[in-house]
Amino acid sequence: MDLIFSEAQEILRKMARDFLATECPKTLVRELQDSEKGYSPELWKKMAELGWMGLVIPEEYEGMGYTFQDLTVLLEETGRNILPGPLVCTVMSTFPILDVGTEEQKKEFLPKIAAGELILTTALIEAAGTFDASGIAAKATPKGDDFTINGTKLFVEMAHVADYCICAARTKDGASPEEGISLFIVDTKAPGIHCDVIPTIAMDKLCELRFENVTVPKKNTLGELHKGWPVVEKLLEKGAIAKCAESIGGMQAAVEMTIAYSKERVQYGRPIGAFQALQHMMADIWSSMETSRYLVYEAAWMESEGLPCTKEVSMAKAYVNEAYKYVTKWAIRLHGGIGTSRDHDIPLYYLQAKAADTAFGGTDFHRELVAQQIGLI
Amino acid sequence: MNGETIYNEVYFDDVRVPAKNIVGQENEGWAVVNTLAGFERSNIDQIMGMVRGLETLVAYCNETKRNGQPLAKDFVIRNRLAQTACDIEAARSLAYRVADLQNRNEMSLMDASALKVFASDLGERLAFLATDILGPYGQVKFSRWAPMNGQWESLYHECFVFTISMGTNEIQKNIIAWYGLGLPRMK
Repeated sequence: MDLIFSEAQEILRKMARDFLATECPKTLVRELQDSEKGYSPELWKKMAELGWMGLVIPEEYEGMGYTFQDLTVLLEETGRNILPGPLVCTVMSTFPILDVGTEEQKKEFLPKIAAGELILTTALIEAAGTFDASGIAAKATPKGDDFTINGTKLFVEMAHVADYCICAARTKDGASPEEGISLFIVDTKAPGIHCDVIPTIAMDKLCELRFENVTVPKKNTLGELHKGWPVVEKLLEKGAIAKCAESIGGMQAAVEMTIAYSKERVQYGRPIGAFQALQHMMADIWSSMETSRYLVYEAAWMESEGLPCTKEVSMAKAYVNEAYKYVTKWAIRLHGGIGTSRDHDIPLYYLQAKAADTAFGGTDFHRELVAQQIGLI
Repeated sequence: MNGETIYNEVYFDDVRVPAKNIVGQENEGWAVVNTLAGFERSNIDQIMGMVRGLETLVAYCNETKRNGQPLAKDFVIRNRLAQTACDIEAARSLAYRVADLQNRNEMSLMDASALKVFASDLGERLAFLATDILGPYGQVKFSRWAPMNGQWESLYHECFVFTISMGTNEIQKNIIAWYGLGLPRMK
């Protein structure tokens, strides 16, 4: 495992950081979070020109051909800055298409995604609120050569602006919940689809997507029928690491802001950063960030190299979920009263931490996967 | 506390040391001590000991029944063991980072201190978790009644050593704060 990033990765990191600092300041972050759309089409276009949506799409499909590890370098910066919008959900949706899509599907969707012309998302979780296969109740029944989908998906990121969603639905009953699940690329403008934005803590436009007799043409079946669950599992694995990468970026920003504030805020005749109780808290949150960092880098590298890493990914997600919440909680407390104001930047990270917690699997979900991976029966 | 001896008091009464045995420059010994301490703080041996300890604890929970089912099936035990496994892996990743820096003759006081605090606190948490899981057997010393040769009862005593020695965890946090984060020292 290489513990240092390549020169190309450091250039990508710096470019992303500088671009976001200029193009997506915190005033715009708050404005987009408060807006109905939740993202800026102008900013989206500029990101497309940089190649961000197509970063991991192979060059033969007009992408940049970068690695998964390169993507996590970019996402660390989007997490550090906070970037409202459908970047993560669009990029994550490319993975199932790359994994199991037909050549026609790859040619139809990937170049347009890379060009920023299509927004995609994935519709997995339902009312049960779990990422286990047992939580999938939406049904897709054959109708001639096509399929009809009925069911309700929840917490679908940016579905209200997405052009397509990758929907997991049951096509047959199996001996176990993991059997009989299929994936479909669904046009979100198809008749029978209803979308409502759920108000959430990070105002990140997670939607309820209701499917009422929605017809999906056969050509939009993704992968082998009834065998979609392993594809979903791989997507959840990649999504978990992607979210972890954003989270360590967010932790870095929160820690830096807190330390800087403690040096300038004067109370009782000295900077509050001189008080040992606060110094120890800042040492603690710095350490929590640092231990998270290398756990994520290890898992991201393994995923990028195609090594089996279910254990490492779940360990990282379970650990970082709690670390990000811990770091941002103390970041607010160390800011005192000003830390609770909507106008201040630090609470943005506290809210991001809560949203990141449940995305692609919460702490207990991943701890159970870890429990299985370490050999508990 | 547990009857074992690790540390000693050593008295020097007019001890002559040849000049050729001086390490580094005269009057510059503190820098040498700091470097040594940094190496000690990478703690990879303690962390790998925890990896092995967790394996024996998992095996114990798979084999041992309480209330008609293996301990491994208890949700709380599973969750806490999984959490500890995640913490151990985080410590291991940071230890490799520290070792990598040492390999390149670079030293990050912050990373070494952070690792020392994290690993030693984790050792304490692991000892508490294991003795919790063992129930009344968690208090039993090495004897025919002691599960896993009484290693967890022993660690329950020893875990404090690592939070105190090589610079207490509170001193480590001062090091991180003053020399790493640039926070002012109170005068």
